[in-house]
Amino acid sequence: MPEQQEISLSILKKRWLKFKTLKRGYYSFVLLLMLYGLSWFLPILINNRALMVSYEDELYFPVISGYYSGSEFDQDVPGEAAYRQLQASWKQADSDNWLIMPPYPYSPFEDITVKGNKMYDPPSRQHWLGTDNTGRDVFSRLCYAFNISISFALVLTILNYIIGVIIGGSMGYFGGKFDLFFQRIIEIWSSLPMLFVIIIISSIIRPSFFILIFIYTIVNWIGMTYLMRAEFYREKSKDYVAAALSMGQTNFKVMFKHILPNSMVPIITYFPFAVVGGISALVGLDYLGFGMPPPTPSWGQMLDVGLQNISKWWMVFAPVSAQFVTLIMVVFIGEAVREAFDPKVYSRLR
Amino acid sequence: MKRIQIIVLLILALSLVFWSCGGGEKQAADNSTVSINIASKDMTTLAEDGGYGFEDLAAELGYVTYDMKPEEQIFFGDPRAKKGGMFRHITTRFPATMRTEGQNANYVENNTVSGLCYEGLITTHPLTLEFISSLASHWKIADDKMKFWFRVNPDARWSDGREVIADDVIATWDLHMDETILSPSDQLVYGKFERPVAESKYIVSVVCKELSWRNLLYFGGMAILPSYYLNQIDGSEYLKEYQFKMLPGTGPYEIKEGDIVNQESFILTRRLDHWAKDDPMTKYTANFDKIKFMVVKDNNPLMFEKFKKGESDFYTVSKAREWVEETDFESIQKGWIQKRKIYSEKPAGTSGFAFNMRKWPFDDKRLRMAFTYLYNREKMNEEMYYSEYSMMNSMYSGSVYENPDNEKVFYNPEKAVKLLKEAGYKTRNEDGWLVNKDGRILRFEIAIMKGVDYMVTPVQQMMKDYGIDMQIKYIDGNANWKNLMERNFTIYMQSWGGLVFPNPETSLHSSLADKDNNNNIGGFKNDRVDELLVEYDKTFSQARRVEIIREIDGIYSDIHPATWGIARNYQRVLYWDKFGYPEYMVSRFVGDYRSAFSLWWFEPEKEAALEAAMTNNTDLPVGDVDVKFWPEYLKANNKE
Amino acid sequence: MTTYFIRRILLMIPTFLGSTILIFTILQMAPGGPLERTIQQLQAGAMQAGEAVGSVGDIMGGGSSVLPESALRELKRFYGFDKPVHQRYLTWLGVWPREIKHREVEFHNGALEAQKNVGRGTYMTLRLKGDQVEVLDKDGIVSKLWKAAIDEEGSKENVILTTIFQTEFSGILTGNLGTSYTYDQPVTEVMAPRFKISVFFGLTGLMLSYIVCIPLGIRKALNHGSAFDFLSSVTIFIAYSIPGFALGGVLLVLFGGGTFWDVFPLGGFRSPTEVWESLSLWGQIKDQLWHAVLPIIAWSIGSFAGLTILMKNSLLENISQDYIRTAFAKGLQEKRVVWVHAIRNSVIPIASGIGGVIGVVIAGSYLIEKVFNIDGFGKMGFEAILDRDYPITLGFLVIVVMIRLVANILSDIALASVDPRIRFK
Repeated sequence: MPEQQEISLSILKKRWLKFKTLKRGYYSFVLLLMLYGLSWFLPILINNRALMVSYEDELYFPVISGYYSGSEFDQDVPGEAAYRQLQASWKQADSDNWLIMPPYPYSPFEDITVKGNKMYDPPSRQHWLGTDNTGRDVFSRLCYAFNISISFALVLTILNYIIGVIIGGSMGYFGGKFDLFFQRIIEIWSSLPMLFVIIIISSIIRPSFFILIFIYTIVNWIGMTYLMRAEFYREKSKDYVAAALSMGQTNFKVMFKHILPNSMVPIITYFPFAVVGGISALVGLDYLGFGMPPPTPSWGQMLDVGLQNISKWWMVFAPVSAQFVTLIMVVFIGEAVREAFDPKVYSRLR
Repeated sequence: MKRIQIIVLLILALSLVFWSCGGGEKQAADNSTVSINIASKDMTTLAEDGGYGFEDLAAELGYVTYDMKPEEQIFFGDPRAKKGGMFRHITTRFPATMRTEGQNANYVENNTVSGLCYEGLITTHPLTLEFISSLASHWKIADDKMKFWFRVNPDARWSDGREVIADDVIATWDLHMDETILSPSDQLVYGKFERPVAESKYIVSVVCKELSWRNLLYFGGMAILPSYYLNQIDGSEYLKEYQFKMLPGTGPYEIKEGDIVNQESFILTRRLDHWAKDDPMTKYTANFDKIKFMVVKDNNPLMFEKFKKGESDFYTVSKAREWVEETDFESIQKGWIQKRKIYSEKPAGTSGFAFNMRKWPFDDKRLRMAFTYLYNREKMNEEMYYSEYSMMNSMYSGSVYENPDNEKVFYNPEKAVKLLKEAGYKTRNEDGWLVNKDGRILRFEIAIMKGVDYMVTPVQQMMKDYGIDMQIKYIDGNANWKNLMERNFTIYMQSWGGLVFPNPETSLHSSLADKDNNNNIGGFKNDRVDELLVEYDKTFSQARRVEIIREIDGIYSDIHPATWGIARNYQRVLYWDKFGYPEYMVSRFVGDYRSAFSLWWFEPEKEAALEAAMTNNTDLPVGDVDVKFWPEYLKANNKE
Repeated sequence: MTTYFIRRILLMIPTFLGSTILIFTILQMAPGGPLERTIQQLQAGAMQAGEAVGSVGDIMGGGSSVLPESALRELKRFYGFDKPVHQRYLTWLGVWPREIKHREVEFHNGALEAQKNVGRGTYMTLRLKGDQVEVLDKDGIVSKLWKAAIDEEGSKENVILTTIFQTEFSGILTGNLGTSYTYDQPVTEVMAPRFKISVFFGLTGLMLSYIVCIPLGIRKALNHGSAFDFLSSVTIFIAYSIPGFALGGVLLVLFGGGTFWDVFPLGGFRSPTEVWESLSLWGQIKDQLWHAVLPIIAWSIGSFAGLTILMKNSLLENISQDYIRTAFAKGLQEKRVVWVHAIRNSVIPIASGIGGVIGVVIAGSYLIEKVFNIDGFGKMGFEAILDRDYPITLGFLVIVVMIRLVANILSDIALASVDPRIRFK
């Protein structure tokens, strides 16, 4: 077996090299990966908690250690210290205390209740994309929502793949009555009214990220099974499967060690499109008010509020363009991946 | 060649689809005019049986009526009013049925239609709320106030020309009491009476089962339907038969067959033969020849665009932001569209948070008060609502029932922190949330419907500053209601509708506090309030009733089952400048667009001026935005 | 192949039953059904929106307090919730008799006979016989129409409550989908016009996207990697990431005549009925198209991307196939090779996708219909879910399921007829 794995690795390598030559897709991939990676560090990039505070010769790291009450720094505020104000007042008083704010010092949650925040502030040096109808910073919300959207889409897609490969693969591999039976089950299951499931669940508990993923997976895996079923069905009749079986391999091994690696092409080429679907799905859910609970930043919610306040252009512009940039990058990646994985040469023949 | 074929094929297919849609919901317009024979005057019925001449006997027999004083004319319609024109209004839903009674007929639209097409025996004075005559010219109340007599005006006619008689009242009561109309609240309201009795052709009497001042209001206000038709059918047949068909009425308007286009529009047409058209109390009302209701479902921007384009005449602005930011367009600057903020005594809108006093944490008054002091509604009003609203400090904010001694609550974090400390929430955990000595975090959940999140997320931030974790979740309306009725909530966003005659029993009586499925949402229990409620029902003096309600309001405010938010007692409206209206624009207690249907009129000169201004692109005079007739009237007359 | 399709059609039966059972069960679990809605309507009255949420009260009185037991019973009976779930399901299917025209009859203090008016002055006599109730008409003959039963729940110590009712078999199998709770009309009557509207928009939009996407996809494939390819990709993905309903809203503001240019009507499927009926045939066609322009743009804007890319990829794949190479080798002209050989085969995946698309098309798009104030199928379905209008919801979901099942078969047929290599067993 090691031999075979080596071969497939080298194939992967070749494909990767091919992928790298496709500039549009490759750069999109790198950029998106970087942005997504960066988005995990949002708390230290975009936040209203200071990165580091030096107060009376002692160092504090609010971003990491979390809540410090204002009284700790001798600030007269209820609850948590207001670091931006603290910074300003220290600067003014020329005190020895100092603190470092994140490069973009606004959190996605602070609204008009925080002094100085106004609703419908147009884009400015402080608020790059203005503020929304409750005075929250649009840019900050946009970035946090980016992380949530991509994570949602990725987790959802991977889960769908796992279920889809197992069920769809078994259907294609075993065929016959098993296949027929599961086809009916899938047909029945796909008639499940999603909206009702969400209504039922959210009337009982507060939907969180993973609960939404769970709800969405309930219905969403079906699309994947069709693809995998067809793939396994086709591969099954190939000689190498018969060979593996004749060598006494178990069905399980044949399916996942032999057929699966050979069906990688559709799996991988379909992936970016599934991610696009996941992103759009979350936007739709949030728009309709069946998604993440407020005040979670989300593109759907921003779009909804933006459309209600259409004269404040930045509130519509921000989510639409963010969605556009993300989608088009994913699509470019998808195109490039497909091209890289396809052995055929797409060039004009004359 | 092939392409042409494809195009031709496409066009063919398209036209096929097009024609398949052709059928649609066509309503066969019935143009055959039915000639109406108006019943001639009945001179045979004796005066003492309610016939002509009864007026002279009435006082002797103990009957009363109301004679309009000349100076009151203006409140019954402006004598400058002209008849004619059409008023176009957009509603947000097409009623499930055009019936005015029975299942699904409990919505505003049905109510409006009922008010314009049918009449009760008596009605209330637009200024003083005294009883005044409607279908019944005279009425009598027994000394023990348990029996009422009504004398139907012998001039009253149905729109099919038949006379209105005592039997009509009985038939209407019978319909309400028929359980197969599937409207159980009808049986609750009208079950307070025995079956009415026709004492003669025109005189009908009814006996109450229990003493209550509201009885006359309920029975007298019942819109009377024609017995001639009702006697031929039972409740379930009524539901089917009159689903989208009108029973003849006595009111100034009717809906003609063919004027109901399901899910699209319906038109009320003024009846030229309205029996009371020369009565000074109704003469100057109902001035439009037609009132058209068009439906735009759940789509405010489109409604607004349609108004701006001139497809509708009247627009109510519901949000402060819309009012401040979006009502300064060209037509308004040029005076083509007029902008008004009309004050009245009808509380137009209130909001706040109701607590569930049955369970932690709001079973503790200190926490309810702490929440109240931390809820910085002043700031929200200033920062988000353009200071358009006033602060509520009473269930009956802005009306005579408001208890002036209620605590005027202001944002007060010191007090709140003190209360929280007293309640045992002294320390904060490492995430900054308040905890009590058992380590329980002060955390609860609020379920809201989509669209109001902007009113709640700032509150969440306010609470967060003081260590209270209020978590928000979206829920759909029905699920929310179910949770509310099963008391499966901690805090709930509530509104307090303003009733002219408050009915606090349904939401405050102790007996309801521990039961599910009623309006005592917070679990309010108070012995004194129970006592007052008993007295309230049996008190016939409005002045005493006001006192009672004020006392209840005071107790309520003290127990504090809810945090009051903001309120306004005015309507923000826009309308095309082609109407005439009385100085006060909306009546004192109705206070909204529905006043326009009966009190406004179409002014041809104004419309001509508007048209000229629009073609020449010139300006028209812009009127004052604030219409404070009612506050000033009340001040001048020293009435509360 | 015929046997294959007959089998497929037969297999639809278990799927249909399974799906409807599933949908029915889920609906029963949803919090706040029609019963609660009715109670809410009676208790709270209607609500209006705004910051200050004002409930519409009247001078005459507010919501009523607590509904009496009997009223609740009546409502339950009306909605059929007095029966167990399986019976409700079978009734809905139409294989269990449905009870209609209920009336309550009470037997006081051990009385064995009671009379009841069942409408239009017809009285029936009810007679208690053990735990059975007999219904006699005025001639004393046992009624065939009316039946009666004892209501255990409503009966008290000395009052036996019975209900008199008629039964009929009417359910989805007899073509009766019930009566909508919110429209108060038969479901089929509510659905038919909306279905047509959605089909009109769906098919027009679909055709439009085919007309645009297939040529565009071909052009992009033939110029793969060129500036045109890149720019058109950017364009269609901008279009894809703008939600159609959002665009619709903006278009209405821009071209509806309320604020800017008065080019198109402000929503609606067609002119108001009274105007529509006065139009000539040509006028009606014009009016219809006039109203359709903006919704169609909003409807199809998002669908260009997927289809174009599908077409492009499919053609690219075919061009690199051996048979194309052979064709070129044989010296055929590029035009002929591409148009005659490659494109025909590239349309196959699009043809097979048509089944899935049809389902989406018919289900309509709730948000676009809402923006344009068009009473379409999607809007009806979505609102029914929020309003807990079960007859409509069930009818809607069942129709969507059926369409999908049929569409699957159709796309197999389409596939088989375009692609000669495919054979069904």
